[in-house]
Amino acid sequence: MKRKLYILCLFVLPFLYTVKGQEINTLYFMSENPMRHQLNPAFMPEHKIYAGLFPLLSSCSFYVGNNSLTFSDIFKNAVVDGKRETVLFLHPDLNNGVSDFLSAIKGDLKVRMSSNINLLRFGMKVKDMYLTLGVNNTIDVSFSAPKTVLSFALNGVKEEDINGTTEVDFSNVSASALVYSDIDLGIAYSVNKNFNIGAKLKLLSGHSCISSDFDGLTLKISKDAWNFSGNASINSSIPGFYWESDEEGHVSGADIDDVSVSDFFSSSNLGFAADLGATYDFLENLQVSVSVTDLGFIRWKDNLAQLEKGEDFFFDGVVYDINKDDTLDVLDEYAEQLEDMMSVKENPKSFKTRLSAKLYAGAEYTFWQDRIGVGILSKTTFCSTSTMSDLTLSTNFSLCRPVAFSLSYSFMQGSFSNLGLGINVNVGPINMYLLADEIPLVYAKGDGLSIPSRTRGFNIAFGMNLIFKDLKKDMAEHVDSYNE
Amino acid sequence: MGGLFNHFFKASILVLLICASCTDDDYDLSTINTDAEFNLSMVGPLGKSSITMQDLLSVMDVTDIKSDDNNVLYYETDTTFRVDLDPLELSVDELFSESFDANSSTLVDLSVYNQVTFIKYLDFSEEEKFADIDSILLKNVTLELNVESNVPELREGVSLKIFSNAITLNKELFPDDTIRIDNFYGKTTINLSGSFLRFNEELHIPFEMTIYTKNKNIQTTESSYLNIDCHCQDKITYKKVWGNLSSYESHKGILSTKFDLFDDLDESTIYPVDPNIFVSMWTNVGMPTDFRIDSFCTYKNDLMKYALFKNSQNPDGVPFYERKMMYSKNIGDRVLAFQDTFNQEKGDFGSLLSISPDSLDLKYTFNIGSKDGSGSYFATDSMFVDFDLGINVPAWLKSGSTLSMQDTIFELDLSSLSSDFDVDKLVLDMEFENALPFDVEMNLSFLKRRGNFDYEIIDDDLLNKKFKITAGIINKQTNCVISSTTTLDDIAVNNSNMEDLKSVAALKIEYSISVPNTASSVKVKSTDLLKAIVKFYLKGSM
Repeated sequence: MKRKLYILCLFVLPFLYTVKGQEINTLYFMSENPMRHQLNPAFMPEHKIYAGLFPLLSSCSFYVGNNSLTFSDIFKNAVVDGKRETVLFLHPDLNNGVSDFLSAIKGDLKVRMSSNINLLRFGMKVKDMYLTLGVNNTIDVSFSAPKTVLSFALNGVKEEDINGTTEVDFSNVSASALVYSDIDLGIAYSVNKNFNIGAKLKLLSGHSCISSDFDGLTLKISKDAWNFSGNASINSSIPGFYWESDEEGHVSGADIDDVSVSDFFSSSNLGFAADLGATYDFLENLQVSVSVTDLGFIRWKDNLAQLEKGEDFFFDGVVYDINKDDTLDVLDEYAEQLEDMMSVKENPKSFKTRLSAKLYAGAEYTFWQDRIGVGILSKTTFCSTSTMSDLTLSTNFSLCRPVAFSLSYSFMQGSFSNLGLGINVNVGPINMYLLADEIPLVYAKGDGLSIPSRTRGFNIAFGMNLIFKDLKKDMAEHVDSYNE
Repeated sequence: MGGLFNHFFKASILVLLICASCTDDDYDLSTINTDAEFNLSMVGPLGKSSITMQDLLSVMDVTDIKSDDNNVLYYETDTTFRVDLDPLELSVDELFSESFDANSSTLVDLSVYNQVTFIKYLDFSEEEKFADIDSILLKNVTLELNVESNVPELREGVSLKIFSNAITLNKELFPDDTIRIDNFYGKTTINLSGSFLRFNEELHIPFEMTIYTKNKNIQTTESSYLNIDCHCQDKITYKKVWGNLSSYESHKGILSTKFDLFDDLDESTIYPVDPNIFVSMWTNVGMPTDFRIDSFCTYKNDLMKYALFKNSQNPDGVPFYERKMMYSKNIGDRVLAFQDTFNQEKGDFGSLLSISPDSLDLKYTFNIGSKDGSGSYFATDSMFVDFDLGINVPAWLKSGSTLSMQDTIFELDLSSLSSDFDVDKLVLDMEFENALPFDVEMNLSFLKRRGNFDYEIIDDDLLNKKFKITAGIINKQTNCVISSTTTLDDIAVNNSNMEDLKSVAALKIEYSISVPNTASSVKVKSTDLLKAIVKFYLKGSM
């Protein structure tokens, strides 16, 4: 049973946790953390210089989850043969298992796993500017499917539609996996005492990618006909990977050649992105900020492979021809139509993948000599097929200077159960932090396992940096404070 | 530094402990159950077919179905026959016999001049059959001459020459048109094959016969004689005969033609409105001939059906149909002697098909020869009459006509229907668009095995289904379908029928096609069609 559960969790867990972006909202108002400029390039770290302590530990973040489902949506408590058991929502003894599962999905089901690792991070204040330099590696895997598609997969045709037409729109089904690195160069400039602006330019280098592109792809099912029409393509740029095809170019399989690490560093898969931001202090203790990040794309030109959908599939019944002896052969024709639907493109064209741009808009009010701050943050993520919005309320405590805590609560896709916590420690030249969003509070337990039962995802970020204060400024502040 | 890490990790662990401290009592992961069941419903098209009458009849292997210019179907088959007519039998017992005694001038002349010429006649006047013959081209005819004499000098060295203006001898045998026979004594045969005889009004063929002797001194006595007998073989065969041949006997016979219209239509009843039987005859006979159809009749196993002629020429007995044939004017010409079509105007020929027959017989009689004794005709030794006997049945059927067919599809094996998928409900929606001028009843019966080669109907009312499909809309003036009708029906099975369904080994389909009661008769066009569309609704779980 234990082994079964592990296997199950391995498949199920990725769908339980949600991430709308790699960034952790809790970080946004954590002013003591030098990394928060990743969310708004206009933010200036408090330290004159900072640098990643270790190449791989400067800042790491990992995200996995989905936008709708929790463990409790997939597993239910039921009485089976007189015993209480934890069962799948598909268990035959459950009433409304599937309908409850589907009602938990808000709009499209979006599943994402990603990681971001800062390989190199450096920042330095120069007069009224703050310059940053970083090298990052990002892995981003996402899948999105409309509720209607899932409903069709689980229920088939609805009872009320059996005499009509069920239309399943696959246009918003998307799947992609990206691995890329970037070098970013940022600048934050203090226009005046109250107004900062910032920008960051990123040179992106793609290592591998596979993404789907469905355009008008629709399955119409009725008693009269099945019609699968529209355009679809699967683009990939993966070293050594290729689609196998038959003589007519129809896909028959896939294979991958031996590759070396250097094959993943193509100079052709380049892209650019930009972050823009601004902050404005309306009052002494009230700051509003806005930023747009990851506004860019990667164009993939190397190691290309492309599958393209050809003819539409149309089936309106096996035609029985009384003059032919073996009418059942006609079924082969339709099976062939399905098999031949996807063709391998001989000369695949380069393709572009857009990063998921984020728009942040926040406001923070601090009091008690900035020891406590409360903030509100709106984050809008522009994905390829949809837009998602979060709203985060945040409180930051910095009761003693070296240690700061952050507590956040987010409204994400209709869910309120999203607690975020963060701790940032700045002691001497060392900065350490650990942040998490959507922290699970309730766990299903048993058999030595604990699985979050009410959360859709989990974000965690941590890092260690070297920080060096502006001693002159620090001294001046102390003098001012003493004089007051 | 170590203290810093300690504080950081302690704080972090504290946070995690806080977070991980709450237990969801709804779940117990030690009793997790991963059983799953998908309840699915699916609809879709299953199959469709569009069958025209032409298709249907082709499948029935009726190869003689055609359509006319208006696409109205008709069945037509014909058979050709050749009836060889026996040549006229002409027989002659004896042509002439002459006996010369010592006092006859013949012997005197022979003894004095060593030759004698006399005129003789081949006399046919006693033969009635030769009465009106003008001429004969003989085929295989030999004359036998028998010469006897008691005069020794006449037994050797006697020659014979025969010549006649009324006989044209075969040039190959007699190049100078004269018969010459040396050592003419005893029995001698003369081959007249290929000779042409011209009769005069008295039916005499005169010929000049000259006898030569080599011996100069012929001594005759009172008892001397010379006998010459001329005989012909019993039957004279001829290549051609010219004249007025009035004494021919009748030729009787039966022509039988098979047709396959009803081969696959067991228990069918067809009432065609106007079937046509057509008879055509070609002949090389060169003299008037009376042709009589004694009867048409059809057969089906032990059943037989006659058709009676209207306006029969025989008011006294069984009606028959008689006509004079056209005859050939020139030897070697084959002329259309007779042609007629027998339909409802000439008799009750529709009734011939009421027994779904498989053959049609025509009984006939020829009376060859002129009855009035005048005219000049000819006969040959290879006279024939070629018949073309056919039947044309337009698909124009009266009310009450019913066609029944059945078919059984064997080797069905539904036992492998997935046991992983439990069918709660399976509905097959049937949509029939009928543009046939027939009501169609279709009976589906699912069969299961009772033995290796024996089947029985599965006793399940939901599986065994009868469909009634209404005929298309029929125009009462044209008797043709002008628009289709749509009939909807379905077969619905549920979980309780699945076991029966899995035992299905064969499917028996019985069709019954009938002219609707609303029409007095209907015409069937090749383009008339029946469309069937089958759709499904399946609900189940797996």
